[in-house]
Amino acid sequence: MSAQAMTQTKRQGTGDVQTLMEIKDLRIWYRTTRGNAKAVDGVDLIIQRNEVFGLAGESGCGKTTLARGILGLTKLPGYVESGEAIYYRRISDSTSVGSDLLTMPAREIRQMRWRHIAYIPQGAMNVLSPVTRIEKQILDAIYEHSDMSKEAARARMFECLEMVGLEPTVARMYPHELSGGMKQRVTIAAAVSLKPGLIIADEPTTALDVNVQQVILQELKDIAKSMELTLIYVTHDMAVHAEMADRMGIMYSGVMVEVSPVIETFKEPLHPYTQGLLSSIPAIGGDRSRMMGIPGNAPSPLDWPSGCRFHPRCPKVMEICREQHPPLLEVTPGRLVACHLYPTPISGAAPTFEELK
Amino acid sequence: MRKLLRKYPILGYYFNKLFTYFITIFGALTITFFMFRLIPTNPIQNWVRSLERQYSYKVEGADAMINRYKEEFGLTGTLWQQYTRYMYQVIVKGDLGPSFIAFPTPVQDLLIKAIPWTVALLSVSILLSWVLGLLIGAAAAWFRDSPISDSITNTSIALSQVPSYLIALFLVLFLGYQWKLLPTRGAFDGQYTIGWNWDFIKSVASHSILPVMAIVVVSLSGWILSTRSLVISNIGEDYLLYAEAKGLKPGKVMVGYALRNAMLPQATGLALTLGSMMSGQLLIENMFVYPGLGQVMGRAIAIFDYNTMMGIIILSVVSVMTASLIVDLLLPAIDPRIRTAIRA
Amino acid sequence: MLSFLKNCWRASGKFKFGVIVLTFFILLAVVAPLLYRPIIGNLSPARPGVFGRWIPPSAKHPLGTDGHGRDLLTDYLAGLRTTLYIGFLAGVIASGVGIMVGFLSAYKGGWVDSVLLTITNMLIVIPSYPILVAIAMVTPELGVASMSIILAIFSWPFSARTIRAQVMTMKERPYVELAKVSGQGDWAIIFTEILPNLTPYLLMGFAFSVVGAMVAEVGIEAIGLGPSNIITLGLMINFANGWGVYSMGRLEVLLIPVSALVLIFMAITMINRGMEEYLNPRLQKVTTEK
Repeated sequence: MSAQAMTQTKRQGTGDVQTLMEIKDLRIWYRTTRGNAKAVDGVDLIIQRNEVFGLAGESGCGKTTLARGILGLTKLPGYVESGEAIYYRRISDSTSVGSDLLTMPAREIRQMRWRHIAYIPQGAMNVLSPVTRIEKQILDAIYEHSDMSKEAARARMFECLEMVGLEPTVARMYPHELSGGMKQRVTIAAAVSLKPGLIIADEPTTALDVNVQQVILQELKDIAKSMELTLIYVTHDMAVHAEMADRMGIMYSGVMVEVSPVIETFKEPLHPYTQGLLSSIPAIGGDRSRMMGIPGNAPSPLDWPSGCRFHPRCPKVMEICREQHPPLLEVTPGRLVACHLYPTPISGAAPTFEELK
Repeated sequence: MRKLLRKYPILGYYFNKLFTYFITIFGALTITFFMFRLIPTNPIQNWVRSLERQYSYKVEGADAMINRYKEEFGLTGTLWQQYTRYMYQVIVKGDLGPSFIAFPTPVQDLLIKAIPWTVALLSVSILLSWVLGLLIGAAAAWFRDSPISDSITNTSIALSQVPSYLIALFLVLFLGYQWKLLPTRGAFDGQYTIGWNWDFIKSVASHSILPVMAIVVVSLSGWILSTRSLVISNIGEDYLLYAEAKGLKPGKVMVGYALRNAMLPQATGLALTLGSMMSGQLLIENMFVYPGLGQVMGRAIAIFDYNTMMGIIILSVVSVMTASLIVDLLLPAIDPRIRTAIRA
Repeated sequence: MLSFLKNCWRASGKFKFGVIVLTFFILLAVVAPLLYRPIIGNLSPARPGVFGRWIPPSAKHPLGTDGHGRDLLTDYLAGLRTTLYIGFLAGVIASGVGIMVGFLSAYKGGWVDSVLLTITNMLIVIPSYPILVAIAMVTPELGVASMSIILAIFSWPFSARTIRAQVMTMKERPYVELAKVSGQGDWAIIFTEILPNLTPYLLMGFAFSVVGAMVAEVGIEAIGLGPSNIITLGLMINFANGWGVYSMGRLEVLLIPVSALVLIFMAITMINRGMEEYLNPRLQKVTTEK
């Protein structure tokens, strides 16, 4: 079956123009003296416009590598082994045109950055240059990607600062004069300054207090909704996903194992890993039940387990799990799972990814 | 006093630096003084003997002559007496004493004549290598996976290891003798009069090309390597990743973010290097017979002229320390982080 | 420490290059006597007038003889040996003193630190080269040991400064605080927590001292201001220059010691950079762990 048809099996949503990004079999590896560490090893994902997509998974499962990889920010010793990340730009109400971010020439990708795809990185503490004032760090991207006059750009900057709840006086300050929460807000303000179509936020609140976290999450969500932009939110914290995301994708050992709308994921997790993750969240109130957790340790990217990568720790492991890597299949409308417990996709006779390899 | 310090904590910082400044200079001079005097040699005696040999007659009253010179040069009495006398003379009276190589010309005069040449030569070389080094180094770091960058780096490593006199040697051999392109001796052609006339200036310029090249080749490599290292160690820094994620042009990221953060240590390095100008380039100046401090030092060492040697060393020590002090004093003004740290 | 070196080897091409080249020269220096004994028997290599002057290369004298009637191959081998020895010895002394001072200064802090730091700075500020030249000029018959000590006097401060900077950052590290809190005595902390992490910097410092000493030695010898009783590579350069080998058409007499020196310096620098590459993950093309 052709790759085209295969794509159709994976497609969700209401049609072409609603798709913002398609990631196909993306592999990003790291060269090490002991072989290749396959941090991202065959990720397939579709992101829709105007949704908040949560990318979940344990630390070390490859989330940040994936996030940076999409933006073309993979640095040695990491490299893109294969795969595509196609971004669809809307040119009219019913058509969009897609281009692969990973094979774009450097100049084009630079133009895409910030203007169309913005990035809110993990750990804002380190991300702002210590010797440059805040205003310059926001303005330089604005000047780069637009023709706004100085006054217009400054006005926009102050607008964004206000949006995230920062005083205009912050602009003239240096990063070290701000608190962690304030710095994070600066990065959010910078990200929205050019009204991009997509924002990728990588654990933006992990290093902050719970209270600050709460506030910032809310702000981010409000901004995303009010500006009608797509937000990919990466974090290991399931509770955050519960609050923020419309759909979420669970990543494990370099691949996606479950992709579903948030509510359904929490109500009825399909993949045993997801079930394990959710059962590790202690419930406040209610019965005191045993914390299940997930036995065993996360495997090493240098040496993923054979077949299904979760098989050594899976409570529902079967023979086939050791041998065959389960493909990501749509098993109910809008829900994808990569697990041998759910072998048949709704489109019935579509061949598996494995067979096509 | 304490109230003053509490109100302006930065004063404490300044006092501290000044105090260290004077102590270090004093200590360095003391160490050098004793080092020189403790070396078992008797320059005056040697000189007189060599005179005797040269003119093959015994100078009557050679001893009287030796004693008189000893007095002139302050070499009488115990070591401690010599020390205190010298220190008093230099610090309080600002007098560096008479020189031996050009007796009775005072050391100051010799130095003053030589300083302009050294300063001219070295400031041009240092500034040139610094600016070029910073730019090339930053570029080499930024494009560090490209073959051009690698070859630049390796060449720099190789060149920085070759002592400058060897480079000078080769330059003299090839450009000076083999192809007779550039003059190799002196600072200017003797036939021209000193002054602001074109011939003189042209002559000075052509005479300085080789020495400048010799110095620049080695120090340029040094700056390239250190800037490259610095920028690379900053490259993994998240703010560079962020700058890149913003889609800024590589040039802008490189200069506005990477270089700017690396500038600080490099600017400090520049100040210190400029400060060390005063020791002259002993080797280069001697090789090119260039009338700068290095040459004077060479002559002074040859007959062990204590006063001149100490004079040049004093000049050198003071200028390095002053440069360092200026950097320390200016640092709070330049680096916003230090300002805050001091306030804390 | 051994695993550190092994990792450096694996992680860095520069390191490999440096180690190979350096080992070559060291081995050459070590077996040097075996190589030149057949030529000059039991005589000292520095002894002039044993053979005729300027004999072109032949079977008996693979590189010919020099202007003082010495076999050139012997000259170079003996010179290599001595230069490396001086560099090594000076490096050991300088590093040794530097490490002790730097460590003490950083670990004790307070007034000990201030005093030691000021002394260190005093020495750094003095322009060492003129003084070295002055000393060398006046003592025409310098032994290898004395020369090494003199060279070491001016290079230990650099070692001390680097080590001090390193130890100071380490003092603040959590694992040291943890050790202190769990009641480990000072010495135990030093040996178990700080020293192992200091090893790469100790090695790098040592390498720098060695190179510094050799450069200084060559600098003094090459312009003829050093002792001429022991043969070193620097001295060979000086002689070659003085004999005017360029106009004699025997440029290799100059080029051989120069290239040997450049290669040695490069090798040591490469080793340093290799270690740096291993330590700083961002410089790496290949990582060792994920």
